[in-house]
Amino acid sequence: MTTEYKRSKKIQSLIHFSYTVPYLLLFLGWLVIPIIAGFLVSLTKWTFISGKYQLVGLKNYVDAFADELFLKGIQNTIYYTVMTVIGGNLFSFFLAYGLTRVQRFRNLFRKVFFIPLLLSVGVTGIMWRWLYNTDFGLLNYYLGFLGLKNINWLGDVRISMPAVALMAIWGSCGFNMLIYYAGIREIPTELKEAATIDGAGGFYQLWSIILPLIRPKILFCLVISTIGSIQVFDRAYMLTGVGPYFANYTAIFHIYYQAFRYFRMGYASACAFVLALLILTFTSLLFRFLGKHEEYY
Amino acid sequence: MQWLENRLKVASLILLLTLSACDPFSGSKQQATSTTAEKTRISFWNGFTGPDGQTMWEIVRQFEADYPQYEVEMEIIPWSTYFDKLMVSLGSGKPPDVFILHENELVNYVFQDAIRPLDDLVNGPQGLPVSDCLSSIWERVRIKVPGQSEAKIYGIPLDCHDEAVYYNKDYFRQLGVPLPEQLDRDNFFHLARQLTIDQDKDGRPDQWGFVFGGSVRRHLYTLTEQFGGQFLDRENGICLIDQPASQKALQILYDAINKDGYMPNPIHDGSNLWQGFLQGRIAMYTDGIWMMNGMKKLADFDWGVLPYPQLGDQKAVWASSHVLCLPRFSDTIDWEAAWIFLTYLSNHGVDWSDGGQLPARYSQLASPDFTQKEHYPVFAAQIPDIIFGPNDPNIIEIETRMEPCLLSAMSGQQPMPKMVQEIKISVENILRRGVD
Amino acid sequence: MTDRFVNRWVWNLLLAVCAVVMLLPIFWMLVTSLKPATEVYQDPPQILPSTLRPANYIDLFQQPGVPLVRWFWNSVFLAIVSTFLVVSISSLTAFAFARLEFPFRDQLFFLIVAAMVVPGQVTLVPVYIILQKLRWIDTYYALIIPGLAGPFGVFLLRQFFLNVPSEIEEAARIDGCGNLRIFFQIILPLARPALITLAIFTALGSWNGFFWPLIVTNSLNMRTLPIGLAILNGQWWSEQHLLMAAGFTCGFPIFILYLIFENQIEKGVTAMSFR
Repeated sequence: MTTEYKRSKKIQSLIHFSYTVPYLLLFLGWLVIPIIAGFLVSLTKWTFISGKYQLVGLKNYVDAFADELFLKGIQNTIYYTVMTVIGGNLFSFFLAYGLTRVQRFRNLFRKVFFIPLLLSVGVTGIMWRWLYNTDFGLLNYYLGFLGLKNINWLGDVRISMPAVALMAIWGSCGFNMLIYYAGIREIPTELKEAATIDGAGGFYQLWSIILPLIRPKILFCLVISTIGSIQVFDRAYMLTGVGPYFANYTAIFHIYYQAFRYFRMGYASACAFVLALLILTFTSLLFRFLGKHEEYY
Repeated sequence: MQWLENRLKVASLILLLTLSACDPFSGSKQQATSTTAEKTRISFWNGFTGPDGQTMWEIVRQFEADYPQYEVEMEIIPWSTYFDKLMVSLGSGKPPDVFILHENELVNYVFQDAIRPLDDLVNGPQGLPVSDCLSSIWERVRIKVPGQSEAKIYGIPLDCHDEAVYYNKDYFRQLGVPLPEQLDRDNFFHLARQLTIDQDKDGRPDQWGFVFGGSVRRHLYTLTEQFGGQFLDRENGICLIDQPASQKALQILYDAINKDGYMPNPIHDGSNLWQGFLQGRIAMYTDGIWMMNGMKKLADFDWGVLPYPQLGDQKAVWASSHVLCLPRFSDTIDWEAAWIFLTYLSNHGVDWSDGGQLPARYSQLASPDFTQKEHYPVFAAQIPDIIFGPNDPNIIEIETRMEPCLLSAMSGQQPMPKMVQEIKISVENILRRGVD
Repeated sequence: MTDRFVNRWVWNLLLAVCAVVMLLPIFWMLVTSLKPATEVYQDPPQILPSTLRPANYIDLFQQPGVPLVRWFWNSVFLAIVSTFLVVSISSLTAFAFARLEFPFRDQLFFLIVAAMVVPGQVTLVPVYIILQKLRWIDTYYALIIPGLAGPFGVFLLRQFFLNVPSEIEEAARIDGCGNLRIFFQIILPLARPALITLAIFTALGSWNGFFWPLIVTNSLNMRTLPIGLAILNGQWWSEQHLLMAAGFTCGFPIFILYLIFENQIEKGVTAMSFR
């Protein structure tokens, strides 16, 4: 107490504040100012080389909504997100639940399921692109055993995006699995046993006890997966690029091409804000439907 | 414990930062000779990552030997990232002194005021013999920017590269087919089909007669012009892909895969057409002159070159050109030195042609050193008929937009009329939009 | 009881199938990487090669124009530096927000949390333009600095610090400890799990980062590992054995790290969801 008494309150406050200064400077310079600047740029036609610009108001936004390629990108993004989030979470939950039902190999399984998460997208990309190869790939080889013809996984416009989603689920299910697993384990055993005593089967246990109690976890996983999937770029880029007839052209691809291939900064910025709006909409919908009205901080 | 860990972290961080500052790995820049303070440096960027890079390297060394007061810092960047890097540097005040662009990309940079007009240098004391440069390319580098009263020269052609048909003579001989002198309406389709064989009788050919290799849209441009049309009418902002000339071209390309079946389907993930040709499974493969060195090195069969098939009434063969440019704004450039280097490169077109190119100067094309090269005369003979792809400022966006549609249509995945409409509308939208 | 037994074995079987599915691609990558070049492109593919050719791995590093080691080093360097900076800056800042008083503290924090809601793409273009003007494109600065502005670390750690019981801290203050000492000797050790979680997340995020390095680096030597592999993906299409060897080499170290830090990683992931 003595040291604090000697300093006046003002200096104390200043010192306290100074601890946050390094971060605040970074925050200001690389987050706040860019967000504002990004919005301002989206209201201009910006020539990248010279830095000269011309104010055009909301024209970029109007163009964005009229751009069928951008709209296709958004459509693809939604398609991909729905597939990955639903498929991925179902599969992760399935694995997590399965883990709670086995005894002996539980740890081994858990480790194995987590491994794909560790590999970077670069590695999984080249791995799966080779797997998906129409003539020499392993998947078509196994399909041959089932009597099916070769599938052109990456080149067929109907299958290309599901193929990317499959790789994404494979690569990231370990994450959600761990969370669900922890969630199921937290449920007091008395609750689970109470159901068995009443003569109810495993399915009842699952539906009426486990699922409601891990609802916050489900929400968390869904939100995280959604945000991640909407922003997907690397997986599609590694497997097919734009894809057959733009099958894998997501909204982010559009921003990437417009900003960093054609250097149309103003327009790309507007597209980015539109995409941001999409993400916010999705996430708030998720919170509305699945969240309890709890304080999250 | 925490203190120790913190100290370790700090120490390793300092170590890492120091190491990174030292840059233990050498960069991609190459320096010909040791740096001395008196030499004027000229920085030169290009995308010649293949064996042609070696050829350029030798010319650069020769230049430094002939002009000891100059030193060239050449940086070779793969084309995929070349333009990003160039764009960033052109806006930052420290661009390369001399750099390469393809002739169809020039307009984009010129409209953004990133390229220095060269009229004064071309017509000056150390000028260039304009009449000696290929007139068709020369027209492409003289560009009129909106707002200016007349066209100015924005680049000097370094070379010209066109397409022709590489063919596997052993393949022909094995099947007892006589080697053709040229390909035209009379013999092309018959020959292509004749050379497509289904050996194991599984319903799919294993060997193919003819491949429109490289990039599909080049063939679209060429064949459209052969049928008397044009892909793009820039002045009026119209895409003419729905006109008869283009339609005929598209039909040929479509039938090649789906009806006559002499070309494998490019959307098939497993097919790598160039590899297939090298492995002897394709009789005739069309690609550019720049593949020449690859062929010489990798083809283990007897091969030759035929002119591009003449399937229409007009003579047309797609070509492009590497153009040498100077930046508009630069803090560090020595204009005289850069110009001297530029003209030197232009004057040594015959040496440069070893990298798989045609010289862009009439005198060089006629010189005995050049005419004696094997296979080159076939490519050179097409020069009077060359046509260029569209050179709209937004050409990259246009071509990126139409490529998947074109491939889908050709491979039969999407109906052709729908794709044609889509290409037409989207390309016209881009044309109408203009430059930012 | 037998019901339960059968039930358990059914699940064991199901999970075993899933485990095989999980590992099969990795196994295939390994197998292809050990095949001699001629055996790679076979229709139908051979699961097991007739001869093994581990020399592929040596060839891998001798390919011209492919700075694989440099890419690996870039990624490692970035991961370490980013993690260190993020953890140190975030922890100090979070401490201030959680435990110290100064004007506008809560409003500032609200601003930081609000920024978390904004998705990353909106800053892409303006940050790129700023980097271009600073001439930081294609340097390590561009790869590290913008990433330090992320609010996630501050948010996570403040949350954790708030939950640290204040008795210890009060006792230390009575004894005369200054803020920094409290920070280093009391808070940080107690916050170890949260710090590790943050470190793991930052490191993994940096290691796997794709979009950002793709945009801000141009030179071959400045590329990070995922981008390098993407480049090889196109370049070495006809040399899958080399490509697979590259993939395996790049995935392997992470696997080793996982074996070492496994428990912490899993704790961290599960702790993340306790909001």
